[in-house]
Amino acid sequence: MIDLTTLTIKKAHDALGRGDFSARDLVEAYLAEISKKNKDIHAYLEVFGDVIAQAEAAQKMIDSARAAGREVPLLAGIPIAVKDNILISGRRAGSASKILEGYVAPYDATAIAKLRALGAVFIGRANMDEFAMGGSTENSAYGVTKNPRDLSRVSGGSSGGSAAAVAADMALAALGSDTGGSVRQPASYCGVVGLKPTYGSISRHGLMAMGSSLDVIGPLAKTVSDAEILFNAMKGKDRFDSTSIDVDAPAAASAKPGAKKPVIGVPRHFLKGDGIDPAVMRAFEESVARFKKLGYEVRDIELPNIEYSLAVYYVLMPAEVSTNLARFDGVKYGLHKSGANLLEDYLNTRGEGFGREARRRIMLGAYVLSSGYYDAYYNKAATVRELLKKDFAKAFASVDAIIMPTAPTPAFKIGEKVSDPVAMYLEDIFTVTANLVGVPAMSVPAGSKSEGGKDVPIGLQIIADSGREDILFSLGKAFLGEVE
Amino acid sequence: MISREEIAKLAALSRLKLSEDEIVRMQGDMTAILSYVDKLKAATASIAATEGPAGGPVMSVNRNVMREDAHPHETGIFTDKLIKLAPQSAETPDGKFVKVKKIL
Repeated sequence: MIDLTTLTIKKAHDALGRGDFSARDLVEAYLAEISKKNKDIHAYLEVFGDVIAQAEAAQKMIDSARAAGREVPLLAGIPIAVKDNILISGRRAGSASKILEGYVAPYDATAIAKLRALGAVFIGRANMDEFAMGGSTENSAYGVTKNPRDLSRVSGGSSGGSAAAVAADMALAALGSDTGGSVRQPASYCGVVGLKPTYGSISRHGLMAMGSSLDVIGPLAKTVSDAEILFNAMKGKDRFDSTSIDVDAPAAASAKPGAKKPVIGVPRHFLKGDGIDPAVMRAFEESVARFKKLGYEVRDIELPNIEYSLAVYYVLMPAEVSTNLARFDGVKYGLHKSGANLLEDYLNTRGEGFGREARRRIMLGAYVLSSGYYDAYYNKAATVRELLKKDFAKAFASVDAIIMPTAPTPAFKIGEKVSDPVAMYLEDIFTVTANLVGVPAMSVPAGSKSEGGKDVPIGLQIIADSGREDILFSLGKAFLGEVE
Repeated sequence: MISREEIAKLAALSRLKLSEDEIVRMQGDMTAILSYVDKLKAATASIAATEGPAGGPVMSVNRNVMREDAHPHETGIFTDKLIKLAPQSAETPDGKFVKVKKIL
């Protein structure tokens, strides 16, 4: 028996290298968990039929590396869940939308190709909010993913299936995408680690576009070290994504012996809203205390324009959504609903193929981009975004990291916010800024709220300057007591 | 409150067929969302107080990343895969095509 609850990528890699268990044993253990739990949690839209064959191919990689005295590739045999908006060649991919019914990916996303080369096993397609729009997976065309810690609650979103799969030991790690918090918020709700890397650091070739100036692929895992392993495996400039960049952090200053510990900033002025659950603030104060006890300096900082972040986000993101989702027309792929002429084909296909939230954001985008409103909304939002970047540049001149809660509340009840889009959007209040500014941010488990006999997880968000994932990893490991 | 006509116009621009019920619901949703993003109006003072790099207004510093218009892949190597994905397609002696309704 393999104890999946305490297993990490590192431990699994070592055990596979020693031959304690085979890659097949490992995926069979996960498949057993999936057959027990997925019908209740619904983290997967599809579990691939060839998982065992993939594991056997990975085992060959492991065996030949061992026979030749070479190092076993770090991800050989590691079972990973993949969000339904990331392409794996020859497999269905649909962004949990009816409009992509029947779509089969014609190529691998670059992130997938990199993991494949290291021997990763792709278990299945993880559920999500349709086209990554939402914070609860309730916008999936195929039903909600429930929170493994309390089945009456949402798993968060939009990468809710990925977070739930990791939290319920139905995958050792998972890939998500983060446009305004879609990796970090579900990680917070499900009690796992979620990393939104620096904008451009992981190629988006093969990731279905939502908000192109905001989107980034990110890993979800049980430990900071595992998230780091996946980030390092996927990062780097890619000729298929012209916005991708190399982000090799400068030899981490904090790693040098005798180097000063990172200084942590807290934007206190932004943590006073009455929409923040008192349990979240309690957990946050405990986190601050924990960092102080570990010897870090924590000081107050000002981010003068951060209160506008959410409004900026809900102008720029829908503008980009309305543009990106124009490609779904029933002509090139996916659903086709015929009408009397080509225009009616478009109207019918898009009217029926997109769910309510997708339709809402497409129209909102059309509104803020239309002449007469463009200056009042889009232009203004783009300008305030630049102010936010300046605020962060100034803050990072005096501190190395910024911390705040990941979300204002723990996971909410299924159905609680579906009829109130603004209430749902407010869950993104702490996460959208990192996407607008482009900086990396990570959610780590930081306590829980006891409710109805269940412990509902709460996350802490750590933000660093562009390209400084190394600071997130070092602080995250120290915070969680992970031994390097 | 955003008008019924405005919603109908946006739906047409967005190429979305909406039912009457949905138009009414969308009126409420869009009005609520727009009244939240109206917070941006208060940012005018911040914008006025901040100067851009050249002393002018704050502008986006994003620039397009260009690549050389060269080294295409070999013609036709993805055709079969992609045509297969189209809901309607046809093959004629001239080649393989995605089918759409007549527009002229």
